[in-house]
Amino acid sequence: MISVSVELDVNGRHVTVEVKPSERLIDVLRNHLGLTGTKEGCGKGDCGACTVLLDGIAVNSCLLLAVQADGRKITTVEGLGTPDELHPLQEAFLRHGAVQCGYCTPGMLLSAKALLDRNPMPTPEQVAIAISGNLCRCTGYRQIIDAVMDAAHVIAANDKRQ
Amino acid sequence: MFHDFDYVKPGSVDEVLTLLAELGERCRLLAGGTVLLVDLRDGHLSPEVLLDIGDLPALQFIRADGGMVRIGPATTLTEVAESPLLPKEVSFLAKAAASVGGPQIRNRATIGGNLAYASPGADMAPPLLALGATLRLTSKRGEREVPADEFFAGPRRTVCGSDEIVTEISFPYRASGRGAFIKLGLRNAMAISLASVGVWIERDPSNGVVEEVRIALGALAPTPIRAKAAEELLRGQRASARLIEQAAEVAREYVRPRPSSIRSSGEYRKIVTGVLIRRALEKCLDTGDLIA
Repeated sequence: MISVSVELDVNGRHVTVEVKPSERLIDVLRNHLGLTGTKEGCGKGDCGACTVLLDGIAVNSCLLLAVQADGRKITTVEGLGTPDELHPLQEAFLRHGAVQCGYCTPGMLLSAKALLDRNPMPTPEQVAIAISGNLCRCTGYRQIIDAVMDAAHVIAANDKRQ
Repeated sequence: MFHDFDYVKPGSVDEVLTLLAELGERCRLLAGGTVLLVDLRDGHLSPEVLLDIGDLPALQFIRADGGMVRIGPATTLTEVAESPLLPKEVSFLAKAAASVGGPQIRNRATIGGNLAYASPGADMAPPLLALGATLRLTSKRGEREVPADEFFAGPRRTVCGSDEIVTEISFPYRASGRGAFIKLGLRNAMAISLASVGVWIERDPSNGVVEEVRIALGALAPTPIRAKAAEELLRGQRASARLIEQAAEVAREYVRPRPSSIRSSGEYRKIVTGVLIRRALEKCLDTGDLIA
């Protein structure tokens, strides 16, 4: 099968990749671009570990063909913050013990980011719905919800200061 | 991961129809891809070509005017769940969309895909059957309108031909109408329905008589169905608690689940259907003003 050229904006960087039409976005991100923060938990859209943002909205990258992302903006967990400068969500997750094995974490962070970008001050119930497509086997979700609520306040305070 | 296939993104509905006529069973339509890619992964399908119709503006719309609502098949479930363009009288349709999967699924899955995939438990079906919706099927040969309750032919089968696509889902609505959708699943999200009901009732505002009533059941038979005998009990009557109970009993008789169901037993589904119907009817009829 012939490869096609796909242009992506990944975490603010423009990249061009040669892919087969049948290649999934998750595989292109992990294998072609070396961005292994996005995890494959089920490959069927049931667990959310592969969540990325496509033009700002949360999607399962295991259910997208790379060709479908042509010309679109992708945000992976690597685009959230840097090791030296973590995103407020990442800091809040650490403060609240919302990371145990860490496997669900990238997907959780991006689902949370998608929520806060549209609803900067959500209720706990709205947070729960926003992460309802992300399974966590470790924490019981309480710490994750607390972290997202906390991050919302931190971000709002930061915005006020600026 | 998947076997090889070609990918084509038609620029217009006309182009889609031409390709469908040409390729027939050799191709598959790709909209949200939330079930298609799972079937590809499981090896249930091996199309030669995927036609991506997910971004065609002509298939993505929600319009309400003149007492009719029209929705494009490639409209995502998130859009249906959140659109301010959907009249508040039919908010139970938005509720059904919001009950499917989780946010990531709803951001990609489409209302047309939910119907065309024809799972017996397709959550968009009960409210649309209750609304008396019509699907417009289009091909190079022309167009035809199919009532939603005649669209489903069996589990995973519709009357849609291999050269046809759904181009519009439409239904009338009245300000005097009230709808209810209740879904029972094993959890609050990411759950396939055990049982779902969609009810739509229009009453005469002067005397509360039920003028129009439709009761639809999902995940309870090989296809989504209407419980017409239950509807007959209510049509032309003033609602009462006893009548609601009777209608719920009659609706239960429509439950015909698979003998070997993995999610719950047929017996349980029959019992719970009565409960869901009663609750949905009470919701539509405002138990406050019922006669005893």
